[in-house]
Amino acid sequence: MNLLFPLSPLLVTGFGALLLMLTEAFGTPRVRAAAGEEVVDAGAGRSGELALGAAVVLLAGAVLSVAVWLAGPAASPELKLLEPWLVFDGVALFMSFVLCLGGAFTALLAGGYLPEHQIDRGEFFPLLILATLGAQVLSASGDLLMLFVGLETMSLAVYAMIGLRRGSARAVEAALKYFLLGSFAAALMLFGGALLYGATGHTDLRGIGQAVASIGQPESTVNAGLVLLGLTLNLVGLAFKVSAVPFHMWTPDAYEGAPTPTTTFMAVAVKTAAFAILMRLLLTSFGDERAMSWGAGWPPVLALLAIVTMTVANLIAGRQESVKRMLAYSSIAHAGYVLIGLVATMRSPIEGQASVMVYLLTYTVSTAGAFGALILCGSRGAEAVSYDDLAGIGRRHPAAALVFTLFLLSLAGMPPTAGFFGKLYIFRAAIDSELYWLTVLGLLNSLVAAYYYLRVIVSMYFREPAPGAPVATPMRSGLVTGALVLAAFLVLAIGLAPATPLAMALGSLTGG
Amino acid sequence: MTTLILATLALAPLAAWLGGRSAKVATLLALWPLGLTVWFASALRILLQGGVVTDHVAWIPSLGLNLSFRLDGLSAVFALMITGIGTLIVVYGAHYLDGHPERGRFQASLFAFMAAMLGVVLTDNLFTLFVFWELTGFTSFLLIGFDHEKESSRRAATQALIVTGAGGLALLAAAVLISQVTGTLTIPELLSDRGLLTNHASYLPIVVLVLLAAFTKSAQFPFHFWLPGAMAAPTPVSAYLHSATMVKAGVYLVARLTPVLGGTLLWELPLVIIGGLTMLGGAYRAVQETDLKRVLAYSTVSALGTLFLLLGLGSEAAFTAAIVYLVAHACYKGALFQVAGVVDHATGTRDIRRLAGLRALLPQTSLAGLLAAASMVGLPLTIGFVAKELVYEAGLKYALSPFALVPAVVVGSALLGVCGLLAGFGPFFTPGAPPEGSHRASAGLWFGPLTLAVLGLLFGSAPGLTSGVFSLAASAVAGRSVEAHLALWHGLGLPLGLSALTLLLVALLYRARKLVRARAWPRSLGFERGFTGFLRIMDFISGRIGPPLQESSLASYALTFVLSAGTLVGVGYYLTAERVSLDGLLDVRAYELAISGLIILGAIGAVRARTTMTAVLCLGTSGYGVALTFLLFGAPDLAMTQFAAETLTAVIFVFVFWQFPRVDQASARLVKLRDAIIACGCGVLVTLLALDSATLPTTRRLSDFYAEAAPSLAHGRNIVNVILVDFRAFDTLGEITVLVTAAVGVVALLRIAAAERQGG
Amino acid sequence: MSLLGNVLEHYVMLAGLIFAIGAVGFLIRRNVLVQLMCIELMLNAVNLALVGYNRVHVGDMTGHLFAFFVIAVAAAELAVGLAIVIAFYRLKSSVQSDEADALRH
Repeated sequence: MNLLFPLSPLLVTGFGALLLMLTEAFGTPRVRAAAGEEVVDAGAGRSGELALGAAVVLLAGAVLSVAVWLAGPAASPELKLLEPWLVFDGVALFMSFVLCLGGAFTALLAGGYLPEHQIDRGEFFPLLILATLGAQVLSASGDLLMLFVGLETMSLAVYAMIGLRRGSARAVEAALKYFLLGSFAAALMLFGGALLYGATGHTDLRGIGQAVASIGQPESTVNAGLVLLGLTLNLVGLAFKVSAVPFHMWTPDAYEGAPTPTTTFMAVAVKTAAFAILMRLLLTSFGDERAMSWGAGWPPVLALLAIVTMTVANLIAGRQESVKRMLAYSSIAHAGYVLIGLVATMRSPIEGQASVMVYLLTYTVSTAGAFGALILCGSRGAEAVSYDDLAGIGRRHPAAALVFTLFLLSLAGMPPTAGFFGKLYIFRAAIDSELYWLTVLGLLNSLVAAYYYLRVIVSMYFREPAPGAPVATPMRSGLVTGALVLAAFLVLAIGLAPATPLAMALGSLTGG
Repeated sequence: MTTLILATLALAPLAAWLGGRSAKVATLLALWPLGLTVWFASALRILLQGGVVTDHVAWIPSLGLNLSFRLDGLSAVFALMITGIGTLIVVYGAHYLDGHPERGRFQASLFAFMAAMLGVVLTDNLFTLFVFWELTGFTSFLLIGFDHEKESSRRAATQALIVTGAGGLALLAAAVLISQVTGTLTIPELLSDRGLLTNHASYLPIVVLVLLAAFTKSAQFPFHFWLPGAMAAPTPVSAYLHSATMVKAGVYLVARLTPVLGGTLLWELPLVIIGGLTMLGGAYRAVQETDLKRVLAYSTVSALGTLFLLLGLGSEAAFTAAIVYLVAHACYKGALFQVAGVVDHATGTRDIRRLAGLRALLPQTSLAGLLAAASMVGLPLTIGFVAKELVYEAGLKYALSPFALVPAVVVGSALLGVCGLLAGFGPFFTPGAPPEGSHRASAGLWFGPLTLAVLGLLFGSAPGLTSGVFSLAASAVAGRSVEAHLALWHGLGLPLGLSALTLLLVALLYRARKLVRARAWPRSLGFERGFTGFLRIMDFISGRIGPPLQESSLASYALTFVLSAGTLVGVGYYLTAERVSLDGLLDVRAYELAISGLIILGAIGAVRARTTMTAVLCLGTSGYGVALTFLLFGAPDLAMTQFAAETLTAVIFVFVFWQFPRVDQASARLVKLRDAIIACGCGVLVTLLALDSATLPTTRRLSDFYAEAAPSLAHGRNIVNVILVDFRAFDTLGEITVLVTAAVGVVALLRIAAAERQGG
Repeated sequence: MSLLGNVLEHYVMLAGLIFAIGAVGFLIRRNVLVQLMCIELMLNAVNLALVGYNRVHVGDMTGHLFAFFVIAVAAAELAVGLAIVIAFYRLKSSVQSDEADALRH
């Protein structure tokens, strides 16, 4: 049975996590214990190596995802054995690529950030890889059970990654809030899953889909009310994970309180995985004509969520004094744009899905880059957080300011960066689906958003720090620099050759 | 052409490096735009022979997008303006900003802007046009905000970007709509689909969006306010962006799309009305200003209005007039802006009431100013004169209402002529002493304006030189072959009479300039205030909705969460016809009722418990009840697991309490007693029920498949185990991963605690 | 089917009730530990519903299996949650969620 190759993206991350865990556990700490202090973490002081290891593992996962994608899932009929639990199709491989990429960025950033801010804890990296593995499983799951398992793997690891910072009330508070609300959301989803199972007798998404499609036919025994409850509860749970308004309230707190690499991971991988499974769930289980119709299906609900999400997030983001918090709101707003793409699957399923996939890719590289640049602009004891901290960076550290500008422009959707094409595809798909007013609202929102992204650029280039104010000195780290170079390369490469990711996304859907 | 544009962009870092050195070295940078000018000029020969230059690079084939460039008459005129004036501005900027610490950034932004602007006028794809359009917006943002120490600079830059950026989005929306209708975005292909667009239901929104984009970019009423604000930019920027290039991008867009969308009243009337209003309003505001640059800024707004007006007239004569006027304006206004810069540089002021008698101090500059002013006033032998004649001719031919139009154009021209005198004549030839501390200007400063002014004279005195190119450009606008008749002498006729009248008016008004300035009734119509007001309102709204939505308390988060979810569920449920049936509720067996009661009581108890210990016990009771139900349902394995898990949970909780010396207020003794009794009672009840239910017949309802397959395929007898480790091994693997993750997570979190304790 | 249907609905109602009690508790209590327990309650309700439904869909053991996973994962979740609560307690000497207010807009 030749499952090794097609499953290699999952296997590499799984074994990588175990390997790293062992390395971390049996290595010797590099930090000499100060008098009266016991070094309890064997991984302390070795973040650099562990980060590099984790990045290699995750990049290998990304490369293998592409390799398997290129070979074509159709070339490995053995993969069918895993269905319906794991559906390792083109879409899942594409998402797996994006997730591994996001994980690798996080690993590299953490390699610089953790030692700099004295949270030099080795557990971060196995947790990171496990979280990525959970995200991969989540995005590929074709069964409610697998969905739950993937979701929990990812979430539990992320909870721990948030609370990692020793003695920081903010970090622990962030972890607590995210954990309590996250578990609550998971419980809602589970109950929704139980109801779906009760109504249809299936936990695999395709089986649910067939049962749901039969609603309304005379011989159908499926209870539409239960299905509706189940769908809504699942929607709510996933809306929480992608932080769509009004289920977003935890986001700014958790993003701000967490160590910045963890924030990056949450903004990038967690959101991507949640969107991937949301898309799969909606299109596999609720993809029949009735459930996808404007009158009797989920599209209007998602459209409403999209509008509220974009508008509220963009309006609040402009007022934030902390850049990190602003980026948190910006990530909420981006969830709104992706929701537009999901709504667009209503009338043009292929284009809608492809636009969501490309958007998640462009969003991942831009967001990881933006958080990375924020990390780079700060150093021990002087983390760059507010707009004032960034004043004059353009002069003191032109390279950092330049890449930061690039990522912000990409987030704002300025051509010819990656982010622009992400938005373009989304809006095109929406117009193809005749969602004109939704497109107009999306465009207006991206205009409002441009305003607060520009504010950062203005701070960096056009402003000098107030005399006497503490100046954030950029840190030095090869790993962070590497991550930024990679992200900047991808932002520009996608911006200049946007056809490739789009063709990949379309190919994933049509099996080409 | 792709290479040329990309090379210009790629040269920006080099420009930053060279531009950061001395003025002489920075002047070398001008060689590149000069070379481009020569290239485009030599390409003119091909165009005049009836050819077009195209360049095609596939970009996003799946979207049908290509980087394809196409040089025709219209593009060539714009490209020559961009590169030619660009050459002069690079030289001028190098000297103007000599010694400025960030002059390198200026040159780099200038090159990037030049590349973007060339892209706008050369591309033959609407979508690519949008991309370059936004790039010009962003690079101009950097240029306007160049003097970033000033708050006004930053505000002006942001304002310009927001207004033009919004217009850019309108252009994108228009492009998307056009491609929806026609299936193409290539301009040559669009030309053949003309009827399709003008007869389509989307024609109205397309026209509105395109005009919105053009009007915002080209500072037309009521979006004109950003241009005077943008005068906060250094003068080289104003001379380049705000006279010759960026503000004309809107004019270019309308000219380019006229053969595609034009020819209808819907297209032409807004152009005439808005263009006319802007022409008059801008000119009127211009003569009231006292700041040299603001005079020029408003006069530019007015000139742009004239251009739109001409494009809206729709006749061949009007198109020709528009092209000539465009070039004339670029020559004299580019020169006058630079002259204003030199004056500012030399005297330190731009207040026209204080500027006088500079002729002796700045002889070359005064010559440039004089020539440019002559062109702007419309004296014969200048290109301004030729343009004005053509404008009057076109106005007289306007079919709809020449009688309303012509007087307006004459008044507008006269006011603009006054502006020309105010800027190019007054500071030098008004008798009086120059402001104190004035000094001479270097050759690098006066070279640019003088060249432009002389060019204007040259084009005006030898119209034959340019008429071929102008014909080509006008043909591109009209969509058919147009012959431009440019001549020094059009013969005695109404246009000449109007020109003479204009000159007379200019002379009168200039003499009475102080009076005109004093009569400033509607000084500002408040559109800028409206704009800032709008931004402030947005700010206010976000300030209002922010805090209530983000209280930072977990309880409010949870409440919002549940309320929103509840609303979603409730509305959805209300909308579906089918309901969960509530029949047969009373048909319950006694032990089921007991267990249910136990679960419910336990649950309520856990929620309401005063002390955490009570809560744990109640939770455990409820959990045991659930386990009993599993037993009833014929799932003993599951029940055992549940029992074990519940016990474990309770034990873990109790262990955690040990960590906390005092979790809640210590309970009163009575309460403790009550809790103990309840807890014991629950325990007894659970035990009894467990014993009782064990005697119940369990109903194992397993599928035949598993029952048969378990021994044969998986060699196991315990079916649930077989399923777990064999048939659904993958899920189990996943579950183990969860447990591993949790373990690592707990270690990560608790080791912190351990370390803290160790460290004290 | 009809008899089972009735029994089934009782259990689903019961599950819904427990779930609702858990959710209400999560909302009204400020003690983090009690909130954790409320989540446990909700998960128990899920299990109840799953097992109950498995009686209708007798084709396989999916419902039972699902419940297995929920039990195990809930325990893991609880462990992580308690670890966070302990960390929180060490910093704040309290387990009241009102104390979590350092992060403000």
